[in-house]
Amino acid sequence: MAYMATAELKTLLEPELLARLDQLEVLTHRVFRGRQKGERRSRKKGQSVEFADYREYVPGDDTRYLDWNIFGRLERLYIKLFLEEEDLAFYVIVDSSASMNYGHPVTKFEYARKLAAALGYVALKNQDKVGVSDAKERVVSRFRPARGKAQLTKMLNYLMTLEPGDRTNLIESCRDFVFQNTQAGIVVLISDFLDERGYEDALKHFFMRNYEVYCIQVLSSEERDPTQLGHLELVDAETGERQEVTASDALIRQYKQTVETFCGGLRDWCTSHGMTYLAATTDLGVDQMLLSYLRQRGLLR
Amino acid sequence: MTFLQSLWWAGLFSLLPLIVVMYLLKLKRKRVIIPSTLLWRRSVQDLVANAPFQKLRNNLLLWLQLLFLALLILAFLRPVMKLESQAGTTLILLIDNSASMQTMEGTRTRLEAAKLAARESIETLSNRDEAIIVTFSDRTNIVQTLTSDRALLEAALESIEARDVETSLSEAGLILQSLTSTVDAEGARLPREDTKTIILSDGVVNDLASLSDVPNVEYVRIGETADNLGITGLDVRESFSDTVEYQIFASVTNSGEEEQEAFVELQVDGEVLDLKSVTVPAGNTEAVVFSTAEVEEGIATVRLDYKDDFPLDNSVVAQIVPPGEIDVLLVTTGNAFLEEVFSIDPRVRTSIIRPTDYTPREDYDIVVFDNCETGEIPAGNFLFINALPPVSGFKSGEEASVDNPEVIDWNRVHPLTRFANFEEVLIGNAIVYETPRSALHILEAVETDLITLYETETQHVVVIGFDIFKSYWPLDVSFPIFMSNLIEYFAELSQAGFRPVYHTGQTIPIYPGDEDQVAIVKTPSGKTVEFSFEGISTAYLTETSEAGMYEIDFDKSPDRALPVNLLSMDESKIAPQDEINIGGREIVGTGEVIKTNQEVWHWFALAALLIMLVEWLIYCKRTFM
Repeated sequence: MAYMATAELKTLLEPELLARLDQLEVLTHRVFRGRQKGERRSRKKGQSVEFADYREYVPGDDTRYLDWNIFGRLERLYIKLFLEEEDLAFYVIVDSSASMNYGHPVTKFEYARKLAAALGYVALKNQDKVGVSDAKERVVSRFRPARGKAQLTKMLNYLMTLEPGDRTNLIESCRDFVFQNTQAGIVVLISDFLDERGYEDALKHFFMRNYEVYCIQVLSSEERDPTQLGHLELVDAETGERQEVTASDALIRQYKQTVETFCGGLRDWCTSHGMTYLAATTDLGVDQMLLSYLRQRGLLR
Repeated sequence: MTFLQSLWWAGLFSLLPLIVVMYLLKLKRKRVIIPSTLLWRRSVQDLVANAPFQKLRNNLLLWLQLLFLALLILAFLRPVMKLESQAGTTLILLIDNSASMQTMEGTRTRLEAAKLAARESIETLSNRDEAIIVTFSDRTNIVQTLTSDRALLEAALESIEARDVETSLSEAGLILQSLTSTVDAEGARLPREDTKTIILSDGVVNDLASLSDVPNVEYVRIGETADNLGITGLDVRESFSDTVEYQIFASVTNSGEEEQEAFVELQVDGEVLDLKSVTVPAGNTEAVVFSTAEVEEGIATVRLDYKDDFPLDNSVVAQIVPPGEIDVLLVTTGNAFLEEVFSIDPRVRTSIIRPTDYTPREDYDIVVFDNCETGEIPAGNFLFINALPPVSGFKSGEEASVDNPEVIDWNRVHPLTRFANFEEVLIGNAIVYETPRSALHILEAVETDLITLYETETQHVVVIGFDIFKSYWPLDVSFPIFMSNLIEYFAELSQAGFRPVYHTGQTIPIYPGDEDQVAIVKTPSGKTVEFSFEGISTAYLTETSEAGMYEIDFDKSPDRALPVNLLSMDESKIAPQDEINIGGREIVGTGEVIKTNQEVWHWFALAALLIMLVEWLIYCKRTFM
């Protein structure tokens, strides 16, 4: 615990949750080429315990993999081929712009951070390589991809250092992420996706690397269902832009319709581009999100 | 463009800053920080920018805006409210434009005030109403015949100018009578109840008392001022002494309520010759006499050095003319009375011849035939005493003469009878004669004419139809007065030393010289009137509504000046009359026109304004969107 006290880290990962997370592992639907040998089946034939096939020996092959039983029977040299197990790159991008610092009793940022911590824990426990990036106007800081349970504390410490602030620029952030993390893998982008420039151009960056992308849209319950009525001057937390509205029933109805349209648009876009969309509300518990929704969506098993 | 409703405008304009203040006030909004206004913006935009057409929603703002527009339109249509149930559909505006209407009341003249009041009543006419505008002073003028065209009426009103003349309503009364009454089958006059008459004047002489009942008359008394000091009389005479000396008489009248003191100044040709102080008690007239031997001729101006609201009567002009010579030929067998009466006037040179010696001659100003007839008379001025002139139309009656004719009347307005009173005249015997139709009866008895005047283009004949020796006339004061008038009258005709003082509005004869063809008369204000003397020997100047010196520019003869003065006691009494008598009914004057129609558009405009304010408030709330 070089950086943070355990007690603080426990706010990210409550012990009860940890116990339940232990049963989970990250599930991939694609086979990725890993850099290190890991616990993932790879298309590459390599060194693992799972037998794959035989082939004839050619000089230079590792003689340790000669199948002496075959040689005894057929007097021919065959090499045993094993499925190589690779590590899985698992990335979490936490939107830490100012707009995420909203919500009661848990802010969207805290919610996203908890979610990131839990997902990171599951991945590290399963010997997957885990990388975490923030997303503001660009990627400002990141936890470089690493594997092993020993990295857990470091990762949690990194998450604790994140502070919400600045504007959102998903396009720049995603581009930075793609350039920084060249290894294909699973990307979980946790954000509210409230960006003036839209989310489409940002998400298209992920095509460069053939990632398996999960978009988790976190909105506060107040955002989904505003309760404040009357003459309001709304101030944008990021831009400071003011919008005078008189929140009448009609306008609230219209707003809810707009939120619906916005979220639906994101969901449809993700679906049609091979990404998985998940909507989260801050009053929906993180554990329920992990144990129920993400499992249903096939990210966790 | 005029703003009759100035008070309204002031009131309405004072509301404008109110709106500005309301816009300065800002709706206090609760400030809320939210993650992003992105979705809110989209929502508001979506709400506002929907399809180009939408189902008409029951929106309070919409109703208010419609109401606002409706009120504005109503106000624009200038709604009027009938205040009087019997309000006339024919409006007769009688506007006084006599001299006293030039009195200043504050910043405007009485005439301007009257025009303003008239305009107000015109502006409230509805489209079906008609109006006629008649001005009255010494004469009556219909400046606009009956019309419902308000623009025409207003233009006519604008064209009315004041005249420096006296007031008379008698002619206007006839117009009024015909407009306000109808005649039924039996010939009886019935008042037309759908007329309304407004008399705008400051002091109307009671010419209308003889009218039958005029319905719906309103007398609008124009003006308040009564204080005025003015010259109401003027005479220029030469004194009958050895040296030529002129006496100029001026009467100064104070029509105010306090005694006034002022200086009276005599100018001749612009040079001040004398200055006299005069103190006039309230309501009185004082005479001022100037004597001067310094000048023989020129234009005399008598000026009152006094500032009042009616300056027109503060200055009068007269002409000083060197005494001319009047040649009188007495054709008589001897008449001491005549010789004596002609010798009084220093201008007269008398020649006496016997009737048998008379031959027709034109070089005398007056030829007197005393008790003798003549065969023929040339052009000129003639007096026949106890004889008939050789003029067709004059002939003896069936009875040759009548004894003790009784004087019943005389022409009181003719210059010949000025100041003369024939009541005491007793006549022993008079000839009975017939006169031409155009002869003027000067003195009449029951049986015959005693004195007649017959005038043609060239001949002016006075006939005294009795022997003055067989009467007490020469012993009566009227005799020298009549003869003096006769000399003056004939002297004017022959232009021998004639000094006229004309009144404004008077018709002035212009006698050209023998060779004159054209004369141009220039009025004091500079207007010119041209006369041509082809075929006529006398022209008449009728445009004498301005007081001052008129100049006559003959093409051959030397130029002449005509002094024309107001000299009116009635006009100088500028105090507005409180009531007038029309058809035996006293009509009390009101200070302003009683409106028949009341414009109410201001109320609509005001309501529209209020609606707009309410609309603005609701718009700001936007709760009903």
